[in-house]
Amino acid sequence: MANPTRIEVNCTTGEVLEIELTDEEVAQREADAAAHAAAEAQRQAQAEATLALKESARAKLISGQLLNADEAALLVP
Amino acid sequence: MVRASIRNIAASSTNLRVRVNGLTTTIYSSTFVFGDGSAAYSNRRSSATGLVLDDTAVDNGATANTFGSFELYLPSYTASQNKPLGTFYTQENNASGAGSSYINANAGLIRTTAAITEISLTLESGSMAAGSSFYLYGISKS
Repeated sequence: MANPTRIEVNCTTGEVLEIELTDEEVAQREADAAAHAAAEAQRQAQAEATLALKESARAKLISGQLLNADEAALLVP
Repeated sequence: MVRASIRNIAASSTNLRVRVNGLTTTIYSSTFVFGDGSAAYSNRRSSATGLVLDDTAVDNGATANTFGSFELYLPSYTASQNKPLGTFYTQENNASGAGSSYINANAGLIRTTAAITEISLTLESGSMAAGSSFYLYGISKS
């Protein structure tokens, strides 16, 4: 199966070329996507962890319990 | 300035990766706000290998003939200094509910002092659908 193609436009000459991606370029695109997905998953996990800490800190404040260090750091960075 | 209207042939919306001069090193940084009508968040990506713009391309399951609308501003693209940039885009699916439309504004920096002579726009997955369009403004002979 042929690789995807890219459209290359030369704005100086007006030349437009449709060029099949090399195997290396396809691999690079897939690696880029995987790296970004991993980074986004990490960001999402961090955001969820922070939200959980906030909810825990809020519940403890309401019930008069002591906060742990991570919960306190949310209130006083 | 680049203006684009992008739809993906794949079943999921996908991110757009912008690079200049074929550079794939860690010179791209961005700070953005993103919202879908029910939630919003902001984030910063520094020293990335490309400028990644989340969910820029509408997926193929979206309402027919809807596209993500995208603008990229790259002022002083020939100046021998790092290149600040701005992007703004929306994705509208002509449907109700969270996740059917997005808006994103982004401020970024590309750390290269070379004049920009090439811009590449690549989807992270799938391919650009027929009807997607791209316009380049503000350069000689464009």
